[in-house]
Parts: sequence; structure tokens; C-alpha cells
Amino acid sequence: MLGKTERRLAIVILVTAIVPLAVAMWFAYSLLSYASSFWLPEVALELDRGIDLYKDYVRAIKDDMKHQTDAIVGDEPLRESAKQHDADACARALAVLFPRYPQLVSLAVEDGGRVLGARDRGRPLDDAAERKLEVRRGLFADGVGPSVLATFAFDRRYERELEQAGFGRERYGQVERERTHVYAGYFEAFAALLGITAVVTVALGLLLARGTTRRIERLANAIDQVAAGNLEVRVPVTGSDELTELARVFNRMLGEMQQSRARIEYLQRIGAWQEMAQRLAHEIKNPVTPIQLAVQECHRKYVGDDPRFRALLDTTLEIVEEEVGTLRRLVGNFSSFARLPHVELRTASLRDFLRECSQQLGHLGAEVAEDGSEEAIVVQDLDVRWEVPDDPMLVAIDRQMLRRVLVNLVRNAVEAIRATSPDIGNGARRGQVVVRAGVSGSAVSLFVEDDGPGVPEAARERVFDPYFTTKSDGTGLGLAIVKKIVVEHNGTIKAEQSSRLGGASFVVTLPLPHPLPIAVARDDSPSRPSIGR
Amino acid sequence: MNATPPRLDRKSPSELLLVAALATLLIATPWLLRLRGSPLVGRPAPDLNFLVLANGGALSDEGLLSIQALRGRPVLLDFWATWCDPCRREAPIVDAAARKWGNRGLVVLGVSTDAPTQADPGEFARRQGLSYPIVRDPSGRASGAYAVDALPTLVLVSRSGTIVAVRTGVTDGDELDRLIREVL
Repeated sequence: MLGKTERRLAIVILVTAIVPLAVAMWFAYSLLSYASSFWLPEVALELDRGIDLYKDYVRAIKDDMKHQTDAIVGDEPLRESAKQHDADACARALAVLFPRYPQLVSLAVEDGGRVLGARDRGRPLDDAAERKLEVRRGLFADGVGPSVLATFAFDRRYERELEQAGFGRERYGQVERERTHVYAGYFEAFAALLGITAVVTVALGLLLARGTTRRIERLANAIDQVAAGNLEVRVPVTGSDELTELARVFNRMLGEMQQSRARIEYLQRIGAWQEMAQRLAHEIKNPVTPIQLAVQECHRKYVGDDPRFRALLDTTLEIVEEEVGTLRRLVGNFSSFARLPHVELRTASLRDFLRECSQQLGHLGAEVAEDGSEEAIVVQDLDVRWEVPDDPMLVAIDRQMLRRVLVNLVRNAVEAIRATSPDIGNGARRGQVVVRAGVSGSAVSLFVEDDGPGVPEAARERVFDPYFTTKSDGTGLGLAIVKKIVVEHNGTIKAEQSSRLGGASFVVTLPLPHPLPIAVARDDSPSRPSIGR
Repeated sequence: MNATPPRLDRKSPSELLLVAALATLLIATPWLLRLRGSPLVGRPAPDLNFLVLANGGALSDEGLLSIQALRGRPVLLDFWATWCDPCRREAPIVDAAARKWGNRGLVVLGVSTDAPTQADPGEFARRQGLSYPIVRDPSGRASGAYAVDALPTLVLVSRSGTIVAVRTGVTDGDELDRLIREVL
């Protein structure tokens, strides 16, 4: 009941899917571990150092501006002009000083709220690119009196670059903090993907294999039934692959097994009947002769003249001799049935055999009696027609025995017609018998048909049983002998209703020599037109 | 600024195990289902639509016949094929039952498992003089649904639509009559 094949298949698919996946997983794990070992802490240090350097640089620029202001304050002409409050001299001193410092935007000398002198570069500060840096210094050491206000332009580029460097460092730090999670995430995603692949592979593989495993299972179930002794089953033939062929061959094998089993059983049964017939014949035969002789003796020895007693003796002798004759014929039939020789099969042309038979039996009406002696029965009042095809039809037959089959079947037909249709006389035909043959599939069929009353459906199986007869004077051995001979030819025989003549039709089927089993199985395919005949 | 290599998450191998367990369960499901569904007797008859090939009569609806539509009547399904000798031997027995119990409500369906390219089961039935409807199951859907492993198989369905008997191999007339009497 459990699909062993399916289970094995699933395990195989799972293993074939899991093994490479596991290797891939291991590979991915080591790859990520390897990649993470390549993280260089020096990079962060260098980045930090670069930022510090930049900060120092900016600070140096600012200090430089302060130093420049100090230098301006130390200028002697400027100090002198401021001291004197001489605006002209101050302007002159500024004019000399200003070009020396290119970073200056404006330079002014103030005393309290009053501007003593001022000079600028002629264009205002560009707020987008420059930042203002004002440095105020007193001109004199006491801190009171005039002072210098120097306004420098500090390029914003430095500031922005420092900012960006800070961002970069920040991002680097973030990545470093998160990389463990990122790697683990990659690994998990990979694992999940591989897992899904494994599941899908197994499911898909099983789905595809399901049809085949299901059919194997069905075959196994059918074989189980056969093993339990039931030969009356067949495996459904589906699809068109090796399993289909297997099912066909298996079915054919079942058919042959069934046939040979039936054949063996039949032969055993008929063997038992033969043995019984032999004993019966022996037991009857022995006392028959003394009885006959004793009665004959009585009849002959009587010398008296009582006419009534003479008449009684005559009648007695007549009755006894007649009955003894019947018994002798019965005994003859029995022992002929009991001593029925086994067939000796030889390959021969059925066509030639039938033509020969038709010449010997068809015209002369010579028939073989059940006891084996030739007995001429004139069949002038009946039409016996032989329809022999041109196909040679090579089959394994025993000519003598098969001749007996034909004779018995033809005589059976003749007797059946005679028993039912009255003799009109004047040579009028009372009925007809047709013997014909033909190849159908892997067998040859021989038909003996008549237009008599036919065989009742209920009796169609039993007519072949020994001692089963519908005739008043029959022994019921004729058809039993026929069937035994046919079965020994590996053939079958059945009684049907003739579709052509309306009477009985006896169909003898003999197998053609065996082709290869596979070819036979193909040939046995249901498209064969011989079904049901 | 720690310089130690990152540890991979411990969860992943166990996740893989989970996936493997899932796969195993997936594989085991068909068996579990089949184990539970093995005996056909006592279960409701699967509903199917058949293509009628012969003797459809009043049962056939535009050439189709469904099991559902036969609810309320006992149904005998005969799974067979034209090439199957035992099926051919059983056909007259089934036909006799169909004729005998037809007026008591029994519906007999001959479910042919022949492929459409194989012999014509309808023609075969007409030649054999079979009286019951012959339907086709070419794709094997019905055989699958009724777990038919061997031919011939008889499946007897009660008026309420429950499968009451399954017989494989040639069933003799007396046995068939006994089974049918139980569902009438």
C-alpha cells in the first residue's frame, strides 16, 4: 500500500538537491567569513588623522590672519598718523599696507566712534564663497585710543571640505558598526533561497514521478491479486511507454497462464473420465459374451414343440442379442475414448489438410465411427460445403486426430439436422453444413456450421463434458473426444450460434507458431479487430 | 573601531534544518493522505462526468452522464476494456443483472478504460447486445478516483451515494445478485 518506490525516489531527489545546496551553503559561509576578515582598522585611523590635519590647517589660516593684523598694527607710519589724528597720513599709510595682504577685504582705523581712515578691496564680501573674519587690535598698548579693524575673507571651501570629511568618517563608522548584520542578512537570505529551492525541487520531482509511481503501484496491486490466485484480472493499459508495454505483456502472460491452467485442469479431468471409461468397459465386456452364449445355447438346445415357449425363446434371444450389441458398441466407445492416443504435433499446412479431408469425406460421406471403424454414411440428402482459403496457414497439428475432430463435428451437424427436419425424399436437400477456416490475429479458426436447431445457450459449455448428450442413442463422448484433441493441440473450442446459417457453429481455434512475446503483446493491442467475432 | 571579524548569525543553520523538516513533511503528505484513504468502501462515491458511447437513453444529458445526477438510485459501475478477456466474460453477467434489476431502479454503467484510439467500446457493446449504458474514461480519471488497479472491477454505490462494495475479477451472477439486493 505504501509507495516504496515513491519514498525512495523522494529520498534520492532530496539527497541530490540537499548535497549541492549544503556545499553551496558552506561555500557561502566561508566566503563571507573570509570577506569579513579583510576589514582593515587602519583605514579608520588614517581617516581620523586626515580630519585632524585639516582642522589644524584651518586653525593655522585663522592664526595667520591674526598675525597679519598684528603686523599691520606694528606699522610705524600708521601708528604715527593715528597718533596725530592725521587723516591724510593715515590714508597714505593704509594705501601702502593694503596691497601687502591679499586676503584683506577692508582695513579701517577707528578712534572711538570716528573713522580716521579706511580702505577696502573694492568689492563686497561674497557670502556664498567667503566667510567674514574680523580682527580688532588697539594701536597702542594701553588699549585706549585708536584701533585697527581688519576684515579678512576666509574661503568657505576649506570649511565645506572639512564637513564632508566628517560625514565620510561618520558613514564609514556606521558601515563598520553594521557590517555584521549585513553579512548575517546575506547569509540568511541565501539559506532561505536554497531551502526553498530544495523544497520546490523535491515537490516538482515527486509531482513528475507521481504518474509513473502510481502506475507501478497499480501493477503491483494487480500482481498481488494474481498472486492470491485470481487470474481473472487484467491491468489497465494506459499511456504509451515502457510501463504500457509491461502492462500488455503482463496481461498477455495472465491470459496464457489462465489458458494453460484451464488446459491442465481439463486434461486431468478428462484423464479421470478415461480411466473410469476403461474400467467400465472392462467390467461390462467380460460378462457380455457368456450372457450371449448362454442365451444362444438355451435357444439352440430347446427341442420341445411348445410354440409359445419357442416364441418366448426367439424374442429373448432377439432382445439379448440386440442389447448385447448395444452394450458392445458402448464398450467399444468407452475403450476407444479411454485409449484415445495422445496427439503428436507436426507443423503442416491446414489448407492442404482441409482439402484432403474434403476429398475424402465431403463427397463420399465416409465417416469414422466413434469406435474407430470406418462407417459409410450416405449424406446425399445434405449439402456439406468446404470453404478452404488459399492461405497455407501453417500450424502444428496431428493430422489423424484433427481429422477425427472434423469427422465428429460434421457428423454431429448432420445428425442434428436429420433429427429435426423430416426426410422429404426425392433427393431434396434437408439442410447444409459448412466447414471453413481463416486466420484471425495470432490464431487460426476452424468453423463447422450448420442450419440445424443449434445448441441451446445453457448447454454451450456442457456439450463438451463426457457423457453429456442430447441424443437418445448418444454416449456423450463425441464432443468430449473432440475437445480433448483440440486442447492437446493447445487450442480452444466453443459452441456458438452461427450468424450465417442460424444453426450451431463450432469454432476450433488453433494458435499460430509463437512470435516474440513483445511483438505478440503489441499484436494483442485492443485495436485488433477479432474481438467478439 | 573594533577589529575582530564579525560572527555570523547562529540562527542560519537551524533555519536550514527547519527547511529540511518542511521538505520531509511535504514528501510525507501524499502517504499520509493515501494511508487514510485506502478503503474505498463506506466512502462517498466521487462525482464524475462521463461521455456516453452507447445506450445512454434517458440518463444521458447531451451525451454526458454524471454520477451526481444518479443520486437516489443504486449504481453499479463496471470498469472494463474491450481487450480484457475476463471483462468480456463478465459482461453477460452484468447485462443480466442490469436487465433483471433495471425496473427496481438499478443503474449499470459500463466504464470503458480503452484509449480513444483503441477499439470502439460502444460498437462492441452493441454487437454483444449489452443493454446498459457504456461510458468512456479515457484519461483514467475515474479509474484513479475509484482506485481501480485491475480489470474488471465492479463498484456498487448505494442510493445515498456511498460505495458499498468493490469486487475485482469476474464476479459470478449469484454473488452480484446478492450484493444488488442489499442496496435495492
